[in-house]
Amino acid sequence: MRSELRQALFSRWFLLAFLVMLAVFFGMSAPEWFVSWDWGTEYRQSALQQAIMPIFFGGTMLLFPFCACAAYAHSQSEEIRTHFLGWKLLRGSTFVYARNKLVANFVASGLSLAFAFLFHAFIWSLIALPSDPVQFSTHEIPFSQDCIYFPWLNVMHGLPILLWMALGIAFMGGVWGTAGLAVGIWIPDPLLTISLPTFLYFMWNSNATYLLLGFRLPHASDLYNDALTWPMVIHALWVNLILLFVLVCIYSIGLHRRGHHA
Amino acid sequence: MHKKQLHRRPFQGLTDMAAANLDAWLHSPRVWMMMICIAIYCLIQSAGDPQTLQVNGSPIPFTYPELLFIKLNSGFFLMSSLLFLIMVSELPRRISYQNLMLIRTTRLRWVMSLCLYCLWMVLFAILMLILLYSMFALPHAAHGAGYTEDALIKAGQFMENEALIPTYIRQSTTPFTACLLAIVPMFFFWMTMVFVILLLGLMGLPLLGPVVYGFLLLSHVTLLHEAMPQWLRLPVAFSTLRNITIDFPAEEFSRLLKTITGYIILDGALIAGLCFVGKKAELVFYSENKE
Repeated sequence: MRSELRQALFSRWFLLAFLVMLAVFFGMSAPEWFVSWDWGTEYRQSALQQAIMPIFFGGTMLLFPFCACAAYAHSQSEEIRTHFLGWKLLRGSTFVYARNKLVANFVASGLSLAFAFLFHAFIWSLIALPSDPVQFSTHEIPFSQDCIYFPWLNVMHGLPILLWMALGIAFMGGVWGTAGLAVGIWIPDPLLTISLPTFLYFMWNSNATYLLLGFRLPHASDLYNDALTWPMVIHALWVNLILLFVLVCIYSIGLHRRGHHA
Repeated sequence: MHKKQLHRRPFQGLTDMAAANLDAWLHSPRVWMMMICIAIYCLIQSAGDPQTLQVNGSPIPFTYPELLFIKLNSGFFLMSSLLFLIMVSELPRRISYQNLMLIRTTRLRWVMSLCLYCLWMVLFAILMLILLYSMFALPHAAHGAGYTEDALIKAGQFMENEALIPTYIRQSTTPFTACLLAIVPMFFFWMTMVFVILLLGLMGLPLLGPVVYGFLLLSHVTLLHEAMPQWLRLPVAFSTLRNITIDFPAEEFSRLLKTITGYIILDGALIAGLCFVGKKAELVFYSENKE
Protein backbone atom coordinates (compact mmCIF):
# COMPACT_ATOMS: atom_id res chain seq x y z
CA MET A 1 0.00 0.00 0.00
CA ARG A 2 2.81 2.37 0.90
CA SER A 3 4.60 1.86 -2.40
CA GLU A 4 1.34 2.28 -4.32
CA LEU A 5 0.60 5.54 -2.50
CA ARG A 6 4.12 6.76 -3.06
CA GLN A 7 3.85 5.93 -6.75
CA ALA A 8 0.52 7.76 -6.97
CA LEU A 9 1.43 10.89 -5.04
CA PHE A 10 4.93 11.44 -6.36
CA SER A 11 4.24 11.01 -10.05
CA ARG A 12 4.33 13.63 -12.79
CA TRP A 13 0.66 12.87 -13.55
CA PHE A 14 -0.34 13.91 -10.05
CA LEU A 15 1.59 17.11 -10.60
CA LEU A 16 -0.05 17.58 -14.02
CA ALA A 17 -3.55 17.19 -12.56
CA PHE A 18 -2.65 19.66 -9.81
CA LEU A 19 -1.23 22.20 -12.24
CA VAL A 20 -4.08 21.95 -14.74
CA MET A 21 -6.65 22.45 -11.98
CA LEU A 22 -4.64 25.35 -10.61
CA ALA A 23 -4.49 26.91 -14.08
CA VAL A 24 -8.27 26.57 -14.40
CA PHE A 25 -8.79 28.29 -11.05
CA PHE A 26 -6.45 31.15 -11.87
CA GLY A 27 -7.83 31.41 -15.41
CA MET A 28 -11.06 32.70 -13.92
CA SER A 29 -9.88 34.53 -10.80
CA ALA A 30 -6.77 36.30 -12.11
CA PRO A 31 -8.45 38.22 -14.99
CA GLU A 32 -11.21 39.28 -12.61
CA TRP A 33 -8.54 40.70 -10.25
CA PHE A 34 -6.66 42.48 -13.05
CA VAL A 35 -9.82 44.07 -14.41
CA SER A 36 -10.48 45.66 -11.01
CA TRP A 37 -6.97 47.03 -10.50
CA ASP A 38 -8.15 50.66 -10.30
CA TRP A 39 -11.22 50.14 -8.10
CA GLY A 40 -9.56 50.80 -4.78
CA THR A 41 -8.72 48.18 -2.14
CA GLU A 42 -12.04 48.40 -0.33
CA TYR A 43 -14.05 47.77 -3.50
CA ARG A 44 -12.10 44.78 -4.80
CA GLN A 45 -13.11 41.23 -4.09
CA SER A 46 -12.03 39.56 -0.89
CA ALA A 47 -9.69 36.59 -0.74
CA LEU A 48 -12.66 34.31 -0.09
CA GLN A 49 -14.55 35.63 -3.12
CA GLN A 50 -11.50 35.22 -5.33
CA ALA A 51 -10.98 31.68 -4.06
CA ILE A 52 -14.50 30.42 -4.63
CA MET A 53 -15.44 32.35 -7.77
CA PRO A 54 -13.96 29.77 -10.20
CA ILE A 55 -16.04 27.07 -8.51
CA PHE A 56 -19.27 29.05 -8.70
CA PHE A 57 -18.83 30.70 -12.07
CA GLY A 58 -15.91 29.13 -13.90
CA GLY A 59 -15.19 26.17 -16.15
CA THR A 60 -13.94 24.03 -13.28
CA MET A 61 -16.78 21.62 -13.96
CA LEU A 62 -15.46 20.73 -17.40
CA LEU A 63 -11.95 19.88 -16.30
CA PHE A 64 -12.78 18.42 -12.89
CA PRO A 65 -13.17 14.77 -14.01
CA PHE A 66 -10.31 15.14 -16.49
CA CYS A 67 -7.91 16.10 -13.72
CA ALA A 68 -9.36 13.52 -11.34
CA CYS A 69 -8.75 10.69 -13.82
CA ALA A 70 -5.41 12.01 -15.05
CA ALA A 71 -3.93 11.94 -11.53
CA TYR A 72 -3.50 8.15 -11.32
CA ALA A 73 -6.30 6.21 -13.05
CA HIS A 74 -4.37 5.86 -16.31
CA SER A 75 -1.79 3.70 -14.50
CA GLN A 76 -4.28 0.83 -14.64
CA SER A 77 -4.28 0.74 -18.43
CA GLU A 78 -0.48 1.02 -18.44
CA GLU A 79 -0.16 -1.99 -16.14
CA ILE A 80 -2.45 -4.00 -18.40
CA ARG A 81 -0.59 -3.04 -21.58
CA THR A 82 2.83 -3.83 -20.09
CA HIS A 83 1.51 -7.10 -18.57
CA PHE A 84 2.77 -5.87 -15.22
CA LEU A 85 -0.70 -6.51 -13.84
CA GLY A 86 -0.14 -10.25 -14.05
CA TRP A 87 3.08 -10.03 -12.05
CA LYS A 88 1.49 -7.86 -9.39
CA LEU A 89 -1.44 -10.24 -9.04
CA LEU A 90 1.00 -13.16 -8.71
CA ARG A 91 2.88 -11.42 -5.90
CA GLY A 92 -0.23 -10.76 -3.87
CA SER A 93 -3.91 -11.43 -4.15
CA THR A 94 -6.58 -9.85 -6.30
CA PHE A 95 -8.16 -8.37 -3.19
CA VAL A 96 -4.90 -6.77 -2.01
CA TYR A 97 -4.18 -5.40 -5.46
CA ALA A 98 -7.68 -3.98 -5.81
CA ARG A 99 -7.59 -2.45 -2.34
CA ASN A 100 -4.23 -0.79 -2.88
CA LYS A 101 -5.15 0.48 -6.31
CA LEU A 102 -8.54 1.85 -5.32
CA VAL A 103 -7.26 3.56 -2.19
CA ALA A 104 -4.19 5.04 -3.86
CA ASN A 105 -6.24 6.25 -6.82
CA PHE A 106 -8.95 7.75 -4.59
CA VAL A 107 -6.37 9.56 -2.48
CA ALA A 108 -4.32 10.79 -5.46
CA SER A 109 -7.36 12.01 -7.43
CA GLY A 110 -8.90 13.77 -4.44
CA LEU A 111 -5.70 15.31 -3.12
CA SER A 112 -4.54 16.64 -6.50
CA LEU A 113 -7.75 18.65 -6.85
CA ALA A 114 -8.12 19.65 -3.20
CA PHE A 115 -4.50 20.81 -3.01
CA ALA A 116 -5.01 22.90 -6.14
CA PHE A 117 -8.06 24.55 -4.60
CA LEU A 118 -6.35 25.18 -1.26
CA PHE A 119 -3.16 26.46 -2.87
CA HIS A 120 -5.23 28.79 -5.04
CA ALA A 121 -7.06 30.03 -1.92
CA PHE A 122 -3.74 30.43 -0.10
CA ILE A 123 -2.29 32.58 -2.88
CA TRP A 124 -5.34 34.84 -2.84
CA SER A 125 -5.13 35.12 0.94
CA LEU A 126 -1.72 36.72 0.39
CA ILE A 127 -2.91 39.09 -2.33
CA ALA A 128 -6.47 40.12 -1.47
CA LEU A 129 -8.04 41.38 1.74
CA PRO A 130 -9.42 38.76 4.14
CA SER A 131 -13.18 38.44 3.91
CA ASP A 132 -14.87 40.96 6.25
CA PRO A 133 -18.49 41.61 5.21
CA VAL A 134 -19.06 43.65 8.37
CA GLN A 135 -16.46 46.23 7.44
CA PHE A 136 -16.64 46.01 3.65
CA SER A 137 -20.05 45.61 2.02
CA THR A 138 -18.43 44.39 -1.22
CA HIS A 139 -17.23 41.30 0.65
CA GLU A 140 -20.81 40.20 1.17
CA ILE A 141 -21.68 36.92 -0.57
CA PRO A 142 -25.48 36.59 -0.91
CA PHE A 143 -25.91 33.10 0.52
CA SER A 144 -29.46 32.29 1.51
CA GLN A 145 -30.17 31.71 5.21
CA ASP A 146 -30.60 27.97 4.83
CA CYS A 147 -27.36 27.61 2.86
CA ILE A 148 -24.73 25.73 4.89
CA TYR A 149 -22.17 28.45 4.16
CA PHE A 150 -24.26 31.29 5.61
CA PRO A 151 -23.25 30.90 9.30
CA TRP A 152 -19.59 30.42 8.35
CA LEU A 153 -19.21 33.62 6.39
CA ASN A 154 -18.03 35.63 9.40
CA VAL A 155 -16.04 32.83 11.04
CA MET A 156 -12.25 33.17 10.60
CA HIS A 157 -12.71 35.10 7.34
CA GLY A 158 -14.66 32.23 5.78
CA LEU A 159 -12.05 29.53 6.45
CA PRO A 160 -14.68 26.84 7.27
CA ILE A 161 -16.23 27.46 3.83
CA LEU A 162 -12.89 26.85 2.16
CA LEU A 163 -12.22 23.73 4.20
CA TRP A 164 -15.67 22.33 3.47
CA MET A 165 -15.27 22.96 -0.24
CA ALA A 166 -11.81 21.37 -0.22
CA LEU A 167 -13.25 18.31 1.49
CA GLY A 168 -16.10 18.11 -1.02
CA ILE A 169 -13.71 18.53 -3.94
CA ALA A 170 -11.42 15.82 -2.55
CA PHE A 171 -14.30 13.38 -2.11
CA MET A 172 -15.79 14.02 -5.55
CA GLY A 173 -12.33 13.87 -7.11
CA GLY A 174 -11.83 10.48 -5.54
CA VAL A 175 -15.21 9.25 -6.82
CA TRP A 176 -14.56 10.35 -10.39
CA GLY A 177 -10.98 9.06 -10.23
CA THR A 178 -12.49 5.69 -9.37
CA ALA A 179 -14.65 6.04 -12.49
CA GLY A 180 -11.42 6.36 -14.49
CA LEU A 181 -10.08 3.22 -12.85
CA ALA A 182 -13.29 1.33 -13.64
CA VAL A 183 -12.97 2.33 -17.30
CA GLY A 184 -9.25 1.53 -17.40
CA ILE A 185 -9.65 -2.07 -16.21
CA TRP A 186 -12.09 -2.81 -19.04
CA ILE A 187 -10.66 -0.60 -21.80
CA PRO A 188 -6.88 -0.25 -21.41
CA ASP A 189 -6.64 2.97 -23.37
CA PRO A 190 -5.20 5.86 -21.33
CA LEU A 191 -7.08 8.47 -23.35
CA LEU A 192 -10.42 6.74 -22.90
CA THR A 193 -9.66 6.26 -19.20
CA ILE A 194 -9.65 10.03 -18.92
CA SER A 195 -12.24 11.01 -21.53
CA LEU A 196 -15.09 8.57 -20.86
CA PRO A 197 -15.58 9.62 -17.21
CA THR A 198 -15.40 13.25 -18.38
CA PHE A 199 -18.15 12.56 -20.89
CA LEU A 200 -20.25 10.77 -18.25
CA TYR A 201 -19.75 13.72 -15.90
CA PHE A 202 -20.89 16.09 -18.63
CA MET A 203 -23.98 13.97 -19.32
CA TRP A 204 -24.73 13.82 -15.59
CA ASN A 205 -24.60 17.61 -15.34
CA SER A 206 -26.72 17.98 -18.48
CA ASN A 207 -29.63 16.29 -16.66
CA ALA A 208 -29.41 13.26 -18.94
CA THR A 209 -31.31 11.07 -16.47
CA TYR A 210 -34.15 13.59 -16.31
CA LEU A 211 -34.36 13.99 -20.08
CA LEU A 212 -34.21 10.27 -20.80
CA LEU A 213 -35.66 8.57 -17.75
CA GLY A 214 -37.65 11.27 -15.97
CA PHE A 215 -35.79 11.53 -12.66
CA ARG A 216 -33.17 14.01 -11.51
CA LEU A 217 -29.87 13.23 -9.85
CA PRO A 218 -28.07 15.75 -7.65
CA HIS A 219 -25.63 17.92 -9.55
CA ALA A 220 -22.18 16.36 -9.65
CA SER A 221 -20.73 19.37 -7.81
CA ASP A 222 -23.41 19.47 -5.14
CA LEU A 223 -21.02 18.74 -2.30
CA TYR A 224 -18.99 21.90 -2.79
CA ASN A 225 -20.95 24.26 -4.98
CA ASP A 226 -23.13 27.18 -3.91
CA ALA A 227 -26.74 27.14 -2.67
CA LEU A 228 -26.05 24.02 -0.60
CA THR A 229 -28.47 23.04 2.13
CA TRP A 230 -28.01 20.17 4.56
CA PRO A 231 -30.71 18.01 2.91
CA MET A 232 -28.96 18.55 -0.44
CA VAL A 233 -25.65 17.55 1.10
CA ILE A 234 -27.06 14.35 2.56
CA HIS A 235 -28.84 13.48 -0.69
CA ALA A 236 -25.70 14.14 -2.73
CA LEU A 237 -23.59 12.13 -0.31
CA TRP A 238 -25.87 9.12 -0.59
CA VAL A 239 -25.99 9.25 -4.38
CA ASN A 240 -22.22 9.56 -4.63
CA LEU A 241 -21.62 6.76 -2.16
CA ILE A 242 -23.88 4.51 -4.25
CA LEU A 243 -22.01 5.62 -7.36
CA LEU A 244 -18.70 4.83 -5.67
CA PHE A 245 -19.97 1.39 -4.66
CA VAL A 246 -21.12 0.65 -8.22
CA LEU A 247 -17.77 1.81 -9.63
CA VAL A 248 -15.84 -0.35 -7.16
CA CYS A 249 -17.98 -3.35 -8.17
CA ILE A 250 -17.35 -2.68 -11.88
CA TYR A 251 -13.64 -2.39 -11.20
CA SER A 252 -13.56 -5.56 -9.11
CA ILE A 253 -15.38 -7.60 -11.75
CA GLY A 254 -13.02 -6.29 -14.41
CA LEU A 255 -9.95 -7.06 -12.31
CA HIS A 256 -11.23 -10.55 -11.57
CA ARG A 257 -11.74 -11.13 -15.28
CA ARG A 258 -8.26 -9.80 -16.11
CA GLY A 259 -6.76 -11.97 -13.42
CA HIS A 260 -8.40 -15.09 -14.87
CA HIS A 261 -7.23 -14.35 -18.40
CA ALA A 262 -3.83 -12.82 -17.58
CA MET B 1 7.96 1.29 -61.50
CA HIS B 2 9.49 3.14 -64.45
CA LYS B 3 9.97 6.92 -63.99
CA LYS B 4 7.77 7.70 -67.01
CA GLN B 5 4.94 5.70 -65.54
CA LEU B 6 5.34 7.46 -62.20
CA HIS B 7 4.95 10.85 -63.88
CA ARG B 8 1.90 9.73 -65.85
CA ARG B 9 0.09 8.74 -62.69
CA PRO B 10 1.14 11.28 -60.05
CA PHE B 11 -1.80 10.54 -57.78
CA GLN B 12 -1.53 6.81 -58.04
CA GLY B 13 -2.03 5.12 -54.77
CA LEU B 14 -3.19 8.30 -52.96
CA THR B 15 -6.73 7.11 -52.48
CA ASP B 16 -5.54 3.60 -51.65
CA MET B 17 -3.24 4.85 -48.89
CA ALA B 18 -5.88 7.24 -47.57
CA ALA B 19 -8.43 4.42 -47.59
CA ALA B 20 -6.01 2.17 -45.69
CA ASN B 21 -5.56 4.82 -43.01
CA LEU B 22 -9.29 5.45 -42.84
CA ASP B 23 -9.97 1.74 -42.51
CA ALA B 24 -7.46 1.42 -39.66
CA TRP B 25 -9.04 4.48 -38.01
CA LEU B 26 -12.56 3.12 -38.31
CA HIS B 27 -11.46 -0.15 -36.73
CA SER B 28 -10.07 1.60 -33.67
CA PRO B 29 -12.05 0.99 -30.44
CA ARG B 30 -11.34 4.59 -29.48
CA VAL B 31 -13.26 5.80 -32.53
CA TRP B 32 -16.18 3.49 -31.85
CA MET B 33 -16.39 4.54 -28.22
CA MET B 34 -16.46 8.17 -29.27
CA MET B 35 -19.12 7.42 -31.88
CA ILE B 36 -21.25 5.90 -29.14
CA CYS B 37 -20.63 9.01 -27.03
CA ILE B 38 -21.66 11.22 -29.94
CA ALA B 39 -24.84 9.16 -30.35
CA ILE B 40 -25.66 9.57 -26.66
CA TYR B 41 -24.86 13.26 -26.90
CA CYS B 42 -27.19 13.69 -29.89
CA LEU B 43 -29.90 11.79 -28.02
CA ILE B 44 -29.56 14.11 -25.01
CA GLN B 45 -29.56 17.18 -27.26
CA SER B 46 -32.73 16.15 -29.08
CA ALA B 47 -34.42 15.09 -25.83
CA GLY B 48 -33.62 18.49 -24.35
CA ASP B 49 -34.99 20.47 -27.31
CA PRO B 50 -38.59 20.66 -26.05
CA GLN B 51 -37.35 22.11 -22.73
CA THR B 52 -34.80 24.55 -24.09
CA LEU B 53 -36.56 25.76 -27.25
CA GLN B 54 -39.74 27.27 -25.87
CA VAL B 55 -42.01 30.27 -26.26
CA ASN B 56 -44.51 31.17 -23.52
CA GLY B 57 -43.80 27.86 -21.82
CA SER B 58 -44.58 25.76 -24.89
CA PRO B 59 -42.06 24.05 -27.16
CA ILE B 60 -41.54 25.90 -30.42
CA PRO B 61 -42.60 23.65 -33.34
CA PHE B 62 -39.33 23.90 -35.26
CA THR B 63 -38.96 21.87 -38.42
CA TYR B 64 -36.04 19.48 -38.76
CA PRO B 65 -33.77 21.82 -40.83
CA GLU B 66 -34.33 24.58 -38.28
CA LEU B 67 -33.42 22.28 -35.38
CA LEU B 68 -30.31 21.12 -37.21
CA PHE B 69 -29.31 24.71 -37.97
CA ILE B 70 -29.68 25.73 -34.32
CA LYS B 71 -27.39 22.87 -33.30
CA LEU B 72 -24.82 23.47 -36.01
CA ASN B 73 -24.89 27.23 -35.41
CA SER B 74 -23.59 26.84 -31.87
CA GLY B 75 -25.17 23.98 -29.95
CA PHE B 76 -23.00 21.10 -31.12
CA PHE B 77 -19.69 22.76 -31.09
CA LEU B 78 -17.88 22.17 -27.80
CA MET B 79 -18.71 18.58 -26.90
CA SER B 80 -18.65 17.27 -30.47
CA SER B 81 -15.30 18.97 -31.07
CA LEU B 82 -13.87 17.45 -27.90
CA LEU B 83 -15.11 14.00 -28.87
CA PHE B 84 -13.75 14.42 -32.39
CA LEU B 85 -10.44 15.59 -30.94
CA ILE B 86 -10.14 12.29 -29.06
CA MET B 87 -10.93 10.39 -32.26
CA VAL B 88 -8.14 12.13 -34.17
CA SER B 89 -5.66 12.33 -31.28
CA GLU B 90 -3.23 9.95 -32.95
CA LEU B 91 -2.10 11.38 -36.30
CA PRO B 92 -0.56 9.81 -38.23
CA ARG B 93 -1.57 6.43 -36.90
CA ARG B 94 1.47 4.68 -35.52
CA ILE B 95 1.06 1.34 -37.19
CA SER B 96 3.82 -0.61 -38.91
CA TYR B 97 1.77 -0.47 -42.12
CA GLN B 98 2.96 3.14 -42.50
CA ASN B 99 6.51 1.81 -42.99
CA LEU B 100 5.30 -0.38 -45.87
CA MET B 101 3.58 2.59 -47.49
CA LEU B 102 6.69 4.74 -47.11
CA ILE B 103 8.76 2.05 -48.83
CA ARG B 104 6.34 1.72 -51.73
CA THR B 105 5.77 5.38 -52.48
CA THR B 106 7.30 8.83 -52.22
CA ARG B 107 7.16 10.88 -49.05
CA LEU B 108 5.17 13.60 -50.82
CA ARG B 109 2.49 11.18 -51.95
CA TRP B 110 2.35 9.67 -48.51
CA VAL B 111 1.79 13.11 -46.96
CA MET B 112 -0.86 13.97 -49.56
CA SER B 113 -2.60 10.69 -48.81
CA LEU B 114 -2.62 11.68 -45.13
CA CYS B 115 -4.20 15.03 -46.06
CA LEU B 116 -6.87 13.19 -48.03
CA TYR B 117 -7.39 10.86 -45.08
CA CYS B 118 -7.85 13.89 -42.81
CA LEU B 119 -10.45 15.30 -45.18
CA TRP B 120 -12.35 12.02 -45.21
CA MET B 121 -12.21 11.81 -41.40
CA VAL B 122 -13.69 15.27 -40.98
CA LEU B 123 -16.43 14.63 -43.56
CA PHE B 124 -17.22 11.29 -41.94
CA ALA B 125 -17.46 12.84 -38.47
CA ILE B 126 -19.73 15.67 -39.63
CA LEU B 127 -21.90 13.21 -41.53
CA MET B 128 -22.20 10.93 -38.50
CA LEU B 129 -23.04 13.87 -36.25
CA ILE B 130 -25.82 14.99 -38.57
CA LEU B 131 -27.14 11.47 -39.14
CA LEU B 132 -27.19 10.62 -35.45
CA TYR B 133 -28.92 13.85 -34.49
CA SER B 134 -31.41 13.41 -37.35
CA MET B 135 -32.23 9.92 -36.12
CA PHE B 136 -33.35 11.30 -32.77
CA ALA B 137 -34.73 14.69 -33.82
CA LEU B 138 -36.80 13.76 -36.87
CA PRO B 139 -39.53 11.92 -34.94
CA HIS B 140 -40.44 15.01 -32.88
CA ALA B 141 -39.69 17.73 -35.44
CA ALA B 142 -42.61 19.64 -36.91
CA HIS B 143 -43.42 19.55 -40.61
CA GLY B 144 -43.60 22.53 -42.90
CA ALA B 145 -41.62 24.96 -44.98
CA GLY B 146 -40.04 28.30 -44.19
CA TYR B 147 -39.08 29.58 -40.75
CA THR B 148 -41.32 28.91 -37.76
CA GLU B 149 -40.10 32.02 -35.95
CA ASP B 150 -41.25 34.28 -38.80
CA ALA B 151 -44.79 33.05 -38.23
CA LEU B 152 -44.44 33.46 -34.45
CA ILE B 153 -43.12 37.01 -34.83
CA LYS B 154 -45.98 37.91 -37.17
CA ALA B 155 -48.46 36.47 -34.68
CA GLY B 156 -46.90 38.59 -31.93
CA GLN B 157 -45.81 35.60 -29.81
CA PHE B 158 -42.14 36.30 -30.33
CA MET B 159 -39.90 39.36 -30.40
CA GLU B 160 -37.34 39.72 -33.17
CA ASN B 161 -34.46 39.86 -30.70
CA GLU B 162 -35.63 36.64 -29.04
CA ALA B 163 -35.32 34.61 -32.25
CA LEU B 164 -32.92 31.68 -32.09
CA ILE B 165 -32.34 31.76 -35.83
CA PRO B 166 -30.69 35.09 -36.69
CA THR B 167 -32.57 37.60 -38.83
CA TYR B 168 -29.97 37.66 -41.61
CA ILE B 169 -30.39 33.88 -42.02
CA ARG B 170 -34.18 34.02 -42.06
CA GLN B 171 -34.19 36.85 -44.59
CA SER B 172 -31.56 35.50 -46.97
CA THR B 173 -31.59 31.72 -46.99
CA THR B 174 -33.82 28.70 -46.86
CA PRO B 175 -33.53 26.43 -43.80
CA PHE B 176 -31.62 23.81 -45.77
CA THR B 177 -29.14 26.37 -47.14
CA ALA B 178 -28.72 27.75 -43.64
CA CYS B 179 -27.66 24.28 -42.45
CA LEU B 180 -25.06 24.08 -45.21
CA LEU B 181 -23.79 27.53 -44.25
CA ALA B 182 -23.52 26.50 -40.62
CA ILE B 183 -21.51 23.37 -41.49
CA VAL B 184 -18.84 25.35 -43.35
CA PRO B 185 -17.07 27.04 -40.36
CA MET B 186 -17.17 23.82 -38.36
CA PHE B 187 -15.70 21.92 -41.29
CA PHE B 188 -12.83 24.37 -41.66
CA PHE B 189 -12.17 24.50 -37.91
CA TRP B 190 -11.98 20.72 -37.74
CA MET B 191 -9.81 20.51 -40.88
CA THR B 192 -7.37 23.02 -39.40
CA MET B 193 -7.38 21.08 -36.16
CA VAL B 194 -6.48 17.75 -37.81
CA PHE B 195 -3.83 19.40 -39.98
CA VAL B 196 -2.20 20.98 -36.92
CA ILE B 197 -2.26 17.67 -35.04
CA LEU B 198 -0.84 15.87 -38.08
CA LEU B 199 1.90 18.46 -38.51
CA LEU B 200 2.94 18.23 -34.88
CA GLY B 201 2.76 14.43 -35.12
CA LEU B 202 5.17 14.42 -38.06
CA MET B 203 7.47 16.74 -36.13
CA GLY B 204 7.74 14.18 -33.35
CA LEU B 205 5.32 15.93 -30.96
CA PRO B 206 2.26 13.67 -31.14
CA LEU B 207 0.73 14.73 -27.83
CA LEU B 208 1.19 18.45 -28.26
CA GLY B 209 -1.52 18.85 -30.91
CA PRO B 210 -4.37 17.33 -28.86
CA VAL B 211 -3.20 19.19 -25.75
CA VAL B 212 -3.09 22.54 -27.57
CA TYR B 213 -6.50 22.05 -29.13
CA GLY B 214 -7.97 20.73 -25.89
CA PHE B 215 -6.81 23.94 -24.25
CA LEU B 216 -8.16 26.07 -27.11
CA LEU B 217 -11.55 24.40 -27.04
CA LEU B 218 -11.93 24.82 -23.31
CA SER B 219 -10.25 28.21 -23.01
CA HIS B 220 -13.38 30.24 -23.65
CA VAL B 221 -14.99 28.45 -20.70
CA THR B 222 -12.05 28.17 -18.32
CA LEU B 223 -10.57 31.61 -18.92
CA LEU B 224 -12.43 34.81 -18.21
CA HIS B 225 -12.12 35.91 -21.80
CA GLU B 226 -14.48 38.85 -21.28
CA ALA B 227 -11.68 40.46 -19.29
CA MET B 228 -9.22 40.02 -22.12
CA PRO B 229 -8.50 42.75 -24.70
CA GLN B 230 -10.96 42.88 -27.60
CA TRP B 231 -8.24 42.40 -30.18
CA LEU B 232 -7.22 39.09 -28.61
CA ARG B 233 -9.64 36.67 -30.21
CA LEU B 234 -9.36 33.02 -29.34
CA PRO B 235 -9.52 30.56 -32.28
CA VAL B 236 -12.90 29.44 -30.99
CA ALA B 237 -14.20 32.84 -32.15
CA PHE B 238 -13.92 31.50 -35.70
CA SER B 239 -15.34 28.06 -35.09
CA THR B 240 -19.10 28.38 -35.59
CA LEU B 241 -21.35 30.59 -37.70
CA ARG B 242 -22.69 32.25 -34.57
CA ASN B 243 -19.25 33.03 -33.13
CA ILE B 244 -18.09 34.48 -36.44
CA THR B 245 -21.07 36.75 -37.04
CA ILE B 246 -22.45 37.70 -33.64
CA ASP B 247 -20.33 40.82 -33.16
CA PHE B 248 -20.76 42.05 -36.74
CA PRO B 249 -24.40 42.94 -37.44
CA ALA B 250 -25.26 43.85 -41.05
CA GLU B 251 -21.99 42.38 -42.37
CA GLU B 252 -22.43 38.73 -41.49
CA PHE B 253 -21.85 37.30 -44.95
CA SER B 254 -18.75 39.36 -45.64
CA ARG B 255 -17.40 38.35 -42.24
CA LEU B 256 -18.09 34.70 -43.04
CA LEU B 257 -16.40 35.04 -46.42
CA LYS B 258 -13.30 36.62 -44.86
CA THR B 259 -13.13 33.83 -42.28
CA ILE B 260 -13.39 31.14 -44.94
CA THR B 261 -10.71 32.87 -47.00
CA GLY B 262 -8.50 32.98 -43.93
CA TYR B 263 -9.07 29.30 -43.29
CA ILE B 264 -8.23 28.39 -46.90
CA ILE B 265 -4.97 30.33 -46.69
CA LEU B 266 -4.14 28.82 -43.30
CA ASP B 267 -4.93 25.27 -44.42
CA GLY B 268 -2.92 25.80 -47.59
CA ALA B 269 0.04 26.89 -45.48
CA LEU B 270 -0.43 23.88 -43.23
CA ILE B 271 -0.47 21.52 -46.22
CA ALA B 272 2.72 23.16 -47.52
CA GLY B 273 4.24 22.77 -44.08
CA LEU B 274 3.16 19.12 -44.00
CA CYS B 275 4.85 18.48 -47.34
CA PHE B 276 8.05 20.16 -46.14
CA VAL B 277 8.12 18.42 -42.76
CA GLY B 278 7.05 15.09 -44.24
CA LYS B 279 10.03 15.11 -46.60
CA LYS B 280 12.55 15.90 -43.86
CA ALA B 281 11.16 14.16 -40.80
CA GLU B 282 12.54 10.97 -39.38
CA LEU B 283 9.59 8.64 -39.43
CA VAL B 284 9.64 5.49 -37.36
CA PHE B 285 6.39 3.68 -36.85
CA TYR B 286 5.91 0.67 -34.64
CA SER B 287 2.84 -0.80 -33.09
CA GLU B 288 2.93 0.36 -29.48
CA ASN B 289 -0.51 1.79 -29.11
CA LYS B 290 -2.72 -0.14 -31.42
CA GLU B 291 -6.18 -1.04 -30.32
